[in-house]
Amino acid sequence: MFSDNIKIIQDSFLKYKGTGMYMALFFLAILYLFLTEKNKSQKMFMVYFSCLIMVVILNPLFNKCVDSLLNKNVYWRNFWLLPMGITIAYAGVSVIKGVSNKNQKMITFLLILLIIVSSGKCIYTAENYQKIGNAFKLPEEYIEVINKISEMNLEHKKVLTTIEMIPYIRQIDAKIELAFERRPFGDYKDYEIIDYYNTGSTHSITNLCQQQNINIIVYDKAIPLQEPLINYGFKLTAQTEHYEIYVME
Amino acid sequence: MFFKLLLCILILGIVPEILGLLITQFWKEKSSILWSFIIGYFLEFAILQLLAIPMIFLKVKFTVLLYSWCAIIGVLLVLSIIMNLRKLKIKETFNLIKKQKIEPKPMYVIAIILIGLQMFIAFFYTHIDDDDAFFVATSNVTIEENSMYIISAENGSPYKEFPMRYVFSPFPLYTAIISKLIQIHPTIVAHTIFPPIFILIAYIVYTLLGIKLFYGDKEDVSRFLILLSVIYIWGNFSIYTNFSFLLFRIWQGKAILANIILPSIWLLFLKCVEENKGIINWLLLIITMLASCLVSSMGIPLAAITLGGLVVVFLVKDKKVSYLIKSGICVIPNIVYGLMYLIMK
Repeated sequence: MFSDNIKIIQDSFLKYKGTGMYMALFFLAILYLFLTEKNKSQKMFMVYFSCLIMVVILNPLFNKCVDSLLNKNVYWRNFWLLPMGITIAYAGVSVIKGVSNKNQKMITFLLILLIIVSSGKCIYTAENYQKIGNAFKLPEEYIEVINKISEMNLEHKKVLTTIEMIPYIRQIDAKIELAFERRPFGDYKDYEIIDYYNTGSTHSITNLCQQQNINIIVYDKAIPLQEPLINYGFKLTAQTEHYEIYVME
Repeated sequence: MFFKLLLCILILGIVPEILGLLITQFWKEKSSILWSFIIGYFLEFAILQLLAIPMIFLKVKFTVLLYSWCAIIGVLLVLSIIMNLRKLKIKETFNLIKKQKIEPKPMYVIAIILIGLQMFIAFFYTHIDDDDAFFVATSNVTIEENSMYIISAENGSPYKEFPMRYVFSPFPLYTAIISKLIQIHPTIVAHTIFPPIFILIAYIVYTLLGIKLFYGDKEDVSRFLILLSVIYIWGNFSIYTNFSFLLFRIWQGKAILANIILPSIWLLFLKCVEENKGIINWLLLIITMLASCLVSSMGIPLAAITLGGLVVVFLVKDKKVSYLIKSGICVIPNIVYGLMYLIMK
């Protein structure tokens, strides 16, 4: 009866916990505060509230009840209800306060920092962050393409381009319409125009462009075209390092 | 450029502070400057939520919402200035500031550096997130088309029907409003202006939580903020955590929910139950619950669940039925918007 709900909860928990080390620290912090915290309000919030929330969100009955309100793909957001960071930090400070010697306090503090660092994963990596030379914080070449399209003196602009570029166009210029929208879970199987684009099937691309009133194609130079687009009424009006911009004549 | 910088300081700094003073003038909090700043933002969010939902369904132009919101904020600002000016003892305040000794203790400095580092990287570096294809594009479409949820942000076609999941939490409209007011493109507002500001707001909430939890002990609060900063910076063990959301995409409403709104609800509820200051704390809680509805569709249920959980736990401890009644009133916005969504989807 609840097998689907249990699966959703399990998948969500596995996604959220990562290596599980921070969760372990969280449970340790809760245990420590349960045993040592004298302030009842603090204890109620960090220990009992945390436990109650865990019981609730890991409960398949709760998942069943909130199914209509909470998308199953994002059930992991319920774990944001846990005051994880605050509880771990509070417990850490409580441990330090329990040490009387000043030097030992510092050593304890550094040890706790070391435990946290070795349990987690630093967010500041070259993979996660880039220095981009524009205030939009979007890939430079995409901005170049979008600006060239924006400057075109056309009443109607509907663009076919790559899946990678699609999320950024309307963030810069909302007057540009798109042949297809971004699918958050990568499900593009309904869009045959993408298949034709990725295989360079010029005839099929231009046929669909005509049917869907697409008058601009931003073509990836890395994909060889079966025939030139200019044979089908498109004119090459601009290009960037990796893209050619064709406009229907 | 300089003019836009001044506008940013005015709209994103001074305006929320003065707005917040409208409420904190009734407190005798030592940290009222910090409180005023976050309350000002929550007030802006709450007013926008109340105005935007009916206007969206009535298909009103965005500029009507913009001018209405500005008018209400303007009136509240004037009210706040008038009410607080009388209490402002300029000469005494100036003398008090002169007497203060600045003692940059190592812990304070380290805490400030860590928070500053997070703000710095958020401003100068980028983490690209494809969800902006909807959220940030919605802000851009709102301004360019002067309409709200009529034209699809994702492909430019007219919506066949309102995107119900997003219409009840129109945070992109806040981005659009700020963009118009400070005369900066909404994508730049979202990706460059908002991140350091919202990270700062998050840490102000944590500072106030720290002050509450450690009874204002500055050393303990500093250690708390240092530990919290390290927890956040090393919290990328999963991309689904609130830690990752704060530092990856704080300009999105759901990240604000996880890192600002939910902690604020915890903080305000603790104030409500521990302090006998009457109606003000509970009023702030209602405002924060309204703000939770604006920032994310997840905010509607999650804020209610978090408040419900706190009520259950503290009801067992204090056995005060008044918690149930007062919290029940606070959660009315979430219930109303939740029911509207369920009926209309």
